[in-house]
Amino acid sequence: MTGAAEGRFADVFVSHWPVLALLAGILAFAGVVALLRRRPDSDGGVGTAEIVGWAAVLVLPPLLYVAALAAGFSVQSSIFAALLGATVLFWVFGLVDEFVPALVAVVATLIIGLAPPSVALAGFSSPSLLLLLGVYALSAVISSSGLSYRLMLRLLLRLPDKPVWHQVTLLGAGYALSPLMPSANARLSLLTPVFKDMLSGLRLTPRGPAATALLAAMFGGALLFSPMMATSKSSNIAALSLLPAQVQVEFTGLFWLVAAGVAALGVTVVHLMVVPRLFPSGDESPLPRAQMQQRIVELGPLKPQEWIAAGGFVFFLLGSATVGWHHVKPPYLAGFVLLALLLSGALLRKQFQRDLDWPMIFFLLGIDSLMRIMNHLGLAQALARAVDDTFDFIGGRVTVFILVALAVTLLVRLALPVTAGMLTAAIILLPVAAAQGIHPWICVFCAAVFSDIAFFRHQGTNGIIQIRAAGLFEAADERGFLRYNRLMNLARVAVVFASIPWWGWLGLL
Amino acid sequence: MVGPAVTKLWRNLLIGGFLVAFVLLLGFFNASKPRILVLHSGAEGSPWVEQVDRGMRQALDQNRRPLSVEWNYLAVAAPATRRGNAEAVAEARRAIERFKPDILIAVDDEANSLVAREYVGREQPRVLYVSIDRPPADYGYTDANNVSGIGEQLPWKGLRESLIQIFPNRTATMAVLGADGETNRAGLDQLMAFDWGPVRIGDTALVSTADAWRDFTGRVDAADVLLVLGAQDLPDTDGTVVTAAELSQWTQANATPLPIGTQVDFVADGGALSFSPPPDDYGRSAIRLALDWLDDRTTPGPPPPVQSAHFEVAIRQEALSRRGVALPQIYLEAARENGTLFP
Repeated sequence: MTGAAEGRFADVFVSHWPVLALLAGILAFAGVVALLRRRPDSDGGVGTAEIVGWAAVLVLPPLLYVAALAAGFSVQSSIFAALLGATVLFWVFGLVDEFVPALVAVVATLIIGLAPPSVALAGFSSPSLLLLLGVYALSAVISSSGLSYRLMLRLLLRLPDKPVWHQVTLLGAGYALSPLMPSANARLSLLTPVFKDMLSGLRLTPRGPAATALLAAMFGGALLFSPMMATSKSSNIAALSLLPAQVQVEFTGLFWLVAAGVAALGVTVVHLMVVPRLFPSGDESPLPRAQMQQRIVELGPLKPQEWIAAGGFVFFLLGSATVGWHHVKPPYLAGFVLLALLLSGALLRKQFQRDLDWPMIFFLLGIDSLMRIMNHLGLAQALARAVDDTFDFIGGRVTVFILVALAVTLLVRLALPVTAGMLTAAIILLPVAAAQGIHPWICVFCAAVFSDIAFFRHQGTNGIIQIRAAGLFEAADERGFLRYNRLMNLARVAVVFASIPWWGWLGLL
Repeated sequence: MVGPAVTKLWRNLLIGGFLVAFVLLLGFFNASKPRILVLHSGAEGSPWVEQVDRGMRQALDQNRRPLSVEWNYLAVAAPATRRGNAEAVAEARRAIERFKPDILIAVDDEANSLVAREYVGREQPRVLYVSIDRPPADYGYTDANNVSGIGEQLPWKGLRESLIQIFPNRTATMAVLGADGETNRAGLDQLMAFDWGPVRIGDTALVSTADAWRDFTGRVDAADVLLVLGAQDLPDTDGTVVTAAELSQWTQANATPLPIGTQVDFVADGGALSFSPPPDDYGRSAIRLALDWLDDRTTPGPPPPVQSAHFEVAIRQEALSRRGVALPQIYLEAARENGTLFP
């Protein structure tokens, strides 16, 4: 740092003395009160990590703001860095429910006028709201009507009584939904009731290997296919618009899947190999077929609510598959399904209040809004410009580019959730790819695959947070599941490298 | 070792501290973010004012720095709807006192003459004048370190060139008519100071009633051109108000010389031809200058004052051809590009 820059840095800190004084005052007050009011507490204490987390959330974001300002960043960039810092700290330390930090950032953005309401609340006025409402409502009715239970009973009775078949059922169902439903979270929420019913129907030991294997299969089914088609992840669709027009035309359809074929096959094979080794079967008792048969008889014919739930599901699936013909977007189809459920009485007011995962809906829409605020401020583009010359060492080598894409995406994902992280990484990497002669789709695909990688708790926006919020880790071995996730993280990197010869054969290199 | 009770108390205190800091820091930031007050001479809803505001909002939409912007309208430009100057000025002063703007954007001569000039040499607010027809020195702006802005150079050069083309083989005579007001007086001064050769300036008048307007128009039959400096709503003899639009239509229909407007709404209201300062451009430029001035980091200090000679052309083809006037194609294309070419 030059002398002048050091001087300015110090000047900015000095000129913001009220901020520093306020923080010091609050900490001093807290310290004094804590010392004066030392007395035993009957209902237990809290962990040191939580104390450290709250102290960090209190102190670090304002300091980050002043430091960014002192480092020459604009006021708006510095403020957003502070808000994003606070959001990430909330997630990292798990201080509040996952949906809260995004709301904190959105409210703060509105208070200070960092973005107009049309941008800061855009997530809540986007078609995604209808999609989430419709899908969560459908998922709730499928479960509450008993349809998923009935289906699971029939499926288990028809399939061979082997754990692998149970797992493949969930994996396949997730894959089948992927091309139609551009949200891993929405797919997870549709599969969750089926998973829960399988768990109880198969009488799996809580936290046992079989239950964890089943959870891994559901998670893999919902997530592994996300980067493999343009329509299986909302950020893929958004990233597509960053590509040159002719590349967009080529990759909008099935060619994306063709180009991603080796990777798709690779992750599936690795999943199928890893799961039996991590979670060997053995704790499953044979299916009580007679009882299950008896239960089906007791259930009788399909109830009207089940018919409506099944009809809604088939309608949504077929409607999503034929968008090219009727041009009604899936979110509006989901909106119609929601209306049908409400008007027919299949979903009543109390269920609407209780069974829809409102925190998750707010979480996803809040993340959407955060991404829009970031785009509004042009921060991703500014970041791309700032690192433009840094990657000259790639020298046009695709292997080196993949490593760079991995590093950039993982770095961005430390702070940003999946959708925003993938798009930011793509925005940073696309100019690099263009300068290095790398096909832009490879760049977007790498960002899509690597953005699903998650190591830390706060990065679990790929679905792990959702699983935790739904309480599914109470039925499975969380540590075992996270071990599976780490192995699949490695598999994602491996299958991208394994795709290089395939891309060469397709003429993408 | 820190016991559970202490940590729980710490946690609660830190949560409270976070909420206090959240409210105070964001509140402090909000209270201290830059403020701009736009002070218009004209009334809210008048075409010129609306278009200046549109340009400002376009520039503000591009801005990402948190700002507070408020608008205040003196509404002292039009004689018929003119409020008492004292009332309008007092209201503007109260707005400045309440809002405490970092920058006061004063649009047109009245806002500068009546209000903004009082703040010369003060630390706050900084004065950004926009579209003034008088020289900045007339308001004491020269050498003041808290004043900058955009002076208006009326489009006399473009008008003279067009008159030479419309009347190629003779010396055209131009009469000048406008509503009486600070802006039009300044415009008339600029006009008289301009070298019009070979065009000759005939009778000139700034009037305060519709009757005087009609009377003057009837008296300048011998002129080739009637330059309409600025039509405003004017009172009639029976106490009713003749709107600016009605005056423009009447002038176009009854004036023997070719009426040429200098306001954006002259042709839209029924006139045939106008050369007018571009309001959107003034609005955009004013906000850009204000943002530049507020940016103490990359562009410290006040931006240098500028003089804008830009203008836009508006043409109503049918009305023009009825008077047998054919303009070069370049004028038609300029008007088409600007969205001011009427059939």
